[in-house]
Amino acid sequence: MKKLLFITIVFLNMSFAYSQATEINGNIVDSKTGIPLPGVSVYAKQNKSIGVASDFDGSFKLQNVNSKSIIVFSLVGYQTKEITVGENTFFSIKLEEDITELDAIVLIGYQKVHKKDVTGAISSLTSEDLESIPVLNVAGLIATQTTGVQSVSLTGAPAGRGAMVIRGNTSIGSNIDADLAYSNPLYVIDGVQTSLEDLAGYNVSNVDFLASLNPNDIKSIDVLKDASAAAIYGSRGANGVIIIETKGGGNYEKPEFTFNTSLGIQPKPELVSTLVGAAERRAKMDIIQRWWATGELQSDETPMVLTDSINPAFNNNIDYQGLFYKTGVIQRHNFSVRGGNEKTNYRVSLGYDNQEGVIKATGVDRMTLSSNLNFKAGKSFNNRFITRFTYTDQKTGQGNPYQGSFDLNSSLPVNPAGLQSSLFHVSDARIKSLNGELSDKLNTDRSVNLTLSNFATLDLIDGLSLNSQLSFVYDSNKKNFYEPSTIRTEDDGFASYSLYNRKNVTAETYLSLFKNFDDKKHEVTAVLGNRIDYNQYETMRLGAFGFGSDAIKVINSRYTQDQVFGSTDISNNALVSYFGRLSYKYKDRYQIGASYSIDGSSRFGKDVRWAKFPSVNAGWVLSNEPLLKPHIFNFVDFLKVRGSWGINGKQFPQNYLRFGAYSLGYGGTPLWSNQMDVSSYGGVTGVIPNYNQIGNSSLSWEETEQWNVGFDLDMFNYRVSLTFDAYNKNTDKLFFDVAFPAYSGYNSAPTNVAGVINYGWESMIHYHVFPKSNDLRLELMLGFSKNENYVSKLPNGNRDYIGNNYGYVVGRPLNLYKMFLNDYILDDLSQLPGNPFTGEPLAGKSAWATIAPGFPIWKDLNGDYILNEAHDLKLTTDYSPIPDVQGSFNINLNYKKWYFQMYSQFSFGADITNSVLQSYMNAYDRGGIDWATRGLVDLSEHTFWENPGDGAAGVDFPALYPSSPSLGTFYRFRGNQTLFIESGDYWKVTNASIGYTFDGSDGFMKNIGFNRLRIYASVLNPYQWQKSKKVVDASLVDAKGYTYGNGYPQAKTIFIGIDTKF
Amino acid sequence: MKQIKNIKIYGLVLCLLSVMNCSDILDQEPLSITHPKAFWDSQANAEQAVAGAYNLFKESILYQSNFMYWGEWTGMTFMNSRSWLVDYIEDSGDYVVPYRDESINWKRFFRAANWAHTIEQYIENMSVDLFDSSSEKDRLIGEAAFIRSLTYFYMARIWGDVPIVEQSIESSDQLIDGNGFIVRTPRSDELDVLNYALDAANKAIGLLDYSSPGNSGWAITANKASAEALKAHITLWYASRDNDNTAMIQQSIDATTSVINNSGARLIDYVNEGVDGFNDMCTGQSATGLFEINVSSAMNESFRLTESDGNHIGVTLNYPIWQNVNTRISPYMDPDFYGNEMMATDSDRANDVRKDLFFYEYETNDQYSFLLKYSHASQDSSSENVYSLFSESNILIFRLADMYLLRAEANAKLGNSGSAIADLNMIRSQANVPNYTGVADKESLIKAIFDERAIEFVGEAQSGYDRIRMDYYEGIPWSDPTRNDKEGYFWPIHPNVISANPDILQTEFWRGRL
Repeated sequence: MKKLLFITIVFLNMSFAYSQATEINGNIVDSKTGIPLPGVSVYAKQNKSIGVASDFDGSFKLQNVNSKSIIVFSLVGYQTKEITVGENTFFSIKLEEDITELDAIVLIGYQKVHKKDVTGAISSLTSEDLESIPVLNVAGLIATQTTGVQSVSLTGAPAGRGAMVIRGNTSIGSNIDADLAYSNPLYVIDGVQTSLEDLAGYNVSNVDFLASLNPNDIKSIDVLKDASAAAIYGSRGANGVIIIETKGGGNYEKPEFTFNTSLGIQPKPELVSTLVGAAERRAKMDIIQRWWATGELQSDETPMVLTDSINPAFNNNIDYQGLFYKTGVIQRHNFSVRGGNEKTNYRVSLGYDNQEGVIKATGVDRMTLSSNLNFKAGKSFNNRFITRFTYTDQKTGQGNPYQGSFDLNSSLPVNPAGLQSSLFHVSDARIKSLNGELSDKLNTDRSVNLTLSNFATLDLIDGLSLNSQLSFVYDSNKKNFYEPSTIRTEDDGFASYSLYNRKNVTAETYLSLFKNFDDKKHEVTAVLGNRIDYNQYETMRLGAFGFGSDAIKVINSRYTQDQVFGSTDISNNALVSYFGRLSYKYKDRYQIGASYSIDGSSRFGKDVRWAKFPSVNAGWVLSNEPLLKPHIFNFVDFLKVRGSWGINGKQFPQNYLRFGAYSLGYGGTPLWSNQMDVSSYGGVTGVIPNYNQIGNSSLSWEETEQWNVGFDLDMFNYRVSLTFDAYNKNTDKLFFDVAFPAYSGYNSAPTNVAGVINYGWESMIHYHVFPKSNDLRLELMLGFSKNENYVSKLPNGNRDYIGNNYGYVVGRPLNLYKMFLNDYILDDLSQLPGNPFTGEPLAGKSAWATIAPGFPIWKDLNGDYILNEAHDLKLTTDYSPIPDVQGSFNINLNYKKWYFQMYSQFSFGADITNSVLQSYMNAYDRGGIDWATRGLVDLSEHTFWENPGDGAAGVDFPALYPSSPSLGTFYRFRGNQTLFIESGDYWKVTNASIGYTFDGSDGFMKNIGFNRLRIYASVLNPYQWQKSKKVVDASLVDAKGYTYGNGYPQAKTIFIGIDTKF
Repeated sequence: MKQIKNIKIYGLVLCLLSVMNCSDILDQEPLSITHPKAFWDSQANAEQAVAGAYNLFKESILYQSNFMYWGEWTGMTFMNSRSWLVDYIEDSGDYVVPYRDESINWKRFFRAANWAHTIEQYIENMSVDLFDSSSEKDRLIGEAAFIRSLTYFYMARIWGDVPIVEQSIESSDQLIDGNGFIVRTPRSDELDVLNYALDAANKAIGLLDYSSPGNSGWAITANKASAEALKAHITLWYASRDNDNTAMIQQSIDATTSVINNSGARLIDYVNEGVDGFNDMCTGQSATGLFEINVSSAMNESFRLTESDGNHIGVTLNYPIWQNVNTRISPYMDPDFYGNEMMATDSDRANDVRKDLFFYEYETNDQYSFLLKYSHASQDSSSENVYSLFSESNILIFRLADMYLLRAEANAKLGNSGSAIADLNMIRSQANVPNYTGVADKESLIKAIFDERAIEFVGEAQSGYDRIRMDYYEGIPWSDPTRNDKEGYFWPIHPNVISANPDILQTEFWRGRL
């Protein structure tokens, strides 16, 4: 694509020399790729008036030189080369790419610029940063290579769904789904825009969006973080934009083939230690013998599962974790071919990935096919046609999101807090079912994604070109599920099928201008265009309960009409956008620019449908400033300051909120046990308004206003580069469900009322420890971002919002915990404060047990000497699940043809809740015998209150014993207490690789016909440090700060692989 | 060059094409939902909306068996309950029934009332050509007005003062002001609420026609007599809340008389019709019904009988409807309860046939005797289990006996003891109870009429309201003059209702108690 960029023509004043004239000619190619280089300035050093630019095929012809002439070849982005003419008249010139960060190409939406011309906050990574890491999904890597981007992991499952958050979360709501409450960016892949909320089956499928992209096909990833960079995507850029470009063809002498393959294993992870069999029985009996009254021990209060040790139903020793975990085998194959010539070229790539999970019956199978065809007609018409096809088959094991959203936390059979006691007898069928080997069980989650996109460019006149991109995207997610009668308590079979389809058609037309005047003194670039985006969704859900053969796993005539239930849905939306951008650069020093877009969405009512999204930006290259140059340290190679301001928008995902929808078939029979689906009154179908959600035709865009100032600094011959950005991002008019007064009949409705502000700074430093020409090269990279997040506006005059287990307070971060505040663990009753009016000591509410030593004492916030939920359970402002500081630290080490690479990321300042340990211990103080029927995790690393004085000595937890008639329930291990808040600090090495590359200089390569051969070993997730030793994985946390203890670890994976090129 | 020129033209055309038809594409009409702009275009749709309004009212009263908590247990007549939830009304007099937040939340009633109001407005604006006849259009408006009136009347009886919503709420703009604040609406005085309900009842009377038993929709949808019955109740309630306002009492007498003369309904002769007459009355659409909520498995509008305190079936039935004796939530005929004592001691009641018709083993087993009014059921054909039964008992709201006793009450209040006793005896005679021979002063007559209502409407959730209307609190431990002065006979309002709309002031008795 470089040739498109350098349409600049060197203006020449041809003059005729008088000396003896020689004519030379030749061609110029890229030393690495062999691609001909057009637009190279070729001139005589002594007399610059003798000069030409190379043609589109890299050839040049220079007259009026003599044998002593020194000819200079120069091209932006390449090292300038000089030769002396001598006797030759034909020259094959190979130019070395001059790689500094500044010359890298950055995509900013409809245009490409050099990094040094960027005025916004953009982080970029290229295929080289990715190619040696055998990941299935690049999501995690983006966070290690950029700043200000948080990659949220929700599960360790292969290709499992995650989230990306750029510069702080803004997802707010009155009833948030903690798995989904992230403000995801807009993805632009080869010009095709996708916001996650637009996807079919988003929030239902387990498959991550970026897992539909083969990392081997990625050429570059650019993350647009500030408002001016994202402004051209106006209405969709509020959460930032991630632009991904895939690889294309090129001009090759012969087709170039690559074949990469890697094989990996994911060893069985280190498991949470559990006590099994006799050890479990002994440990539990020890607890009750220590705490329970003798009479109770001998009574039937003691669960039979513990006492009846000869009963075959209770004397088993099943190690559940042993049942579920295994070593996963991973294979990854990728084949591509590219070739063609300057006029017509192509790239076709085929990928196959098969990754078994570390939990049985989980894993993913993926096939990707992508092709990229370019042709050029005449001198001014270019066309690129892109096809991308992805098929993903994810096996979700036990857990299956039948219809609804996938509960990542509880659906796996390996949640340590939910394991059954090892003592119980479990039927073979049940065991097979649990570990996914039950053949009668069916459980699939399959996605198909097809993208067809045609991009045409017509050069009109003098730097002005007309561009058109037409895209068609079809994606589909389908889930089949069958649960056989052998494992269902109802003894019936349950089959379900759900299908989510989306069709997207996009047409974009725009004019782009790139022009400079007066010997490049002035440079103008502009874009002006229009875009139409149309989505149509079709959904189908079917289910059936019934008896019969488990051999049939689909819904067919085996079920009666009454047993089958289902629904279908069709909906659509459209977005129209007019956009423009103009920027002007003077003398490579001063830059200003502005962009503007006007967008309309079908989701909004007519009067509020259109919105305007402006932005401005400016940059100043101080290091090119003649006046300042003497005052700048001489080790500074490049220094630029830049700033931007702009407004971006976002729309809500529901298509028809502007309508007051009516519900059909309302029966008004509010009986939970109802067996009749009542939908009529007196035989007439009932129609009522949808009282869950009122229509509102004045709902409109959410808006983010953001300013950004930053600088780019390169020093010491480009060996140290530093980027710094400070920003303030004010997201306003966010949707928030306002609870409606009862007189309206409506429950609530979203309104554009809430606000969230994120501000902070981010910086990234690259340091090449040794000169780049050294054999030994070491590059260190440190990214660091500090973000402050707080709620700026809430409905009803900023009244605090207090939800189920979280809430919002203006001036505080998102998703505050609603908890009791732990004061101390009681050693002696005399510690309890007494009510001065009644003389009664502090007590729990009447339903709870009388306070005894070993109990956690919470703060009596309202001072009534009674602890209860009504007055003492409050939003805590001392803790926040949002991290303050995040960043990455990477090492790239090269010695000749060896390389070593390590990427890592860290996060500090989040307060997370150890919901895994909590829900496990909670079984001991809730009444009932859950404690006996559940498995026993080895708790020896934690300390519990045993004797008076332990509280003062600082034991970890209150006394652990099951409640009994004499020892009432106080909910000592309830989840909503600060006792379980832990530090979320962690530093995670995401991958480490070592490899060796053979190239043409290795003699044997010719013999085997390879141009390049790379052999490597790589480890994913090799190491994680975390401050809290009590939580399972501090990096697996939901949006509300609760740890995902579902037992699906981000397991270590070891690969060996080869890359070949021939 | 020609090729390039073609391409340029292609490009320009493409550009133009894409710039055009942009705005139309933003008007995406939904296929999956129906909405106000598209819905009001036929009589059939209007009928469905009205059916929805009936169902909203049905849900308001059936939800967690609330109508029984509001109107039956508070009256404390005949039937005591083993359900611990009922203790909160009977024993502690604390109406805040645990885990029954919806019993102190009026949201569901407002749904029914607001939707009915919206229906009236839309149908009034529909062209008469869309209906079979102009009287059909009137009927639909009239039924909606009836539901609106009935709903406000229920709220006035449960909470007294409630907000009046005189607009059709269809957009959140009506509920949130420009600054994101909720639009607040205070409680209106109960007499204004009753006037609002009365206006709607009069509107319904003006628009509806009389029907007759056997006609489709008889009793389960409103006809003119249903609306008059409602008016009779509203006006008599109004009178009792307004120092026995005689004009209102007179309106009540006129309305009841009109119902008795014109409705086409007749009384059930319990003596001669016996069990069949009783069963007809309870399963519904009988000759005595004026308005009732439909429950019928034949119309696919029923539910399984279950032993749960969340529905009126569970709290009123027992073995042998259930497989075993229920000792947890079942009713029992507490000898100390108002009514049972009368039945046991008053010689007039010795042969009251309702004891055997209305109850299972009333005189033989007071501990496990139960009310039969909600016992009518049919076998669920999809289940082999004989205990899988669908309910067939309608929820009786107004029936003809009620009109006689209301008229008797109104006449008693006006001092027309002769007319009052005549109506009272009319009802007594149907049940083999001898004519009233007691004192004919107002106080004695009110007691006699209350007694008669207590047995006649037992389980129909009337006695709690009768207590308030007749100012008769004999046998209710939670009631005392101080509490009654502070309107402690009304239900409290849920704190969430107040916090979402702080202009609401809690009923005086309940302040600081929730």
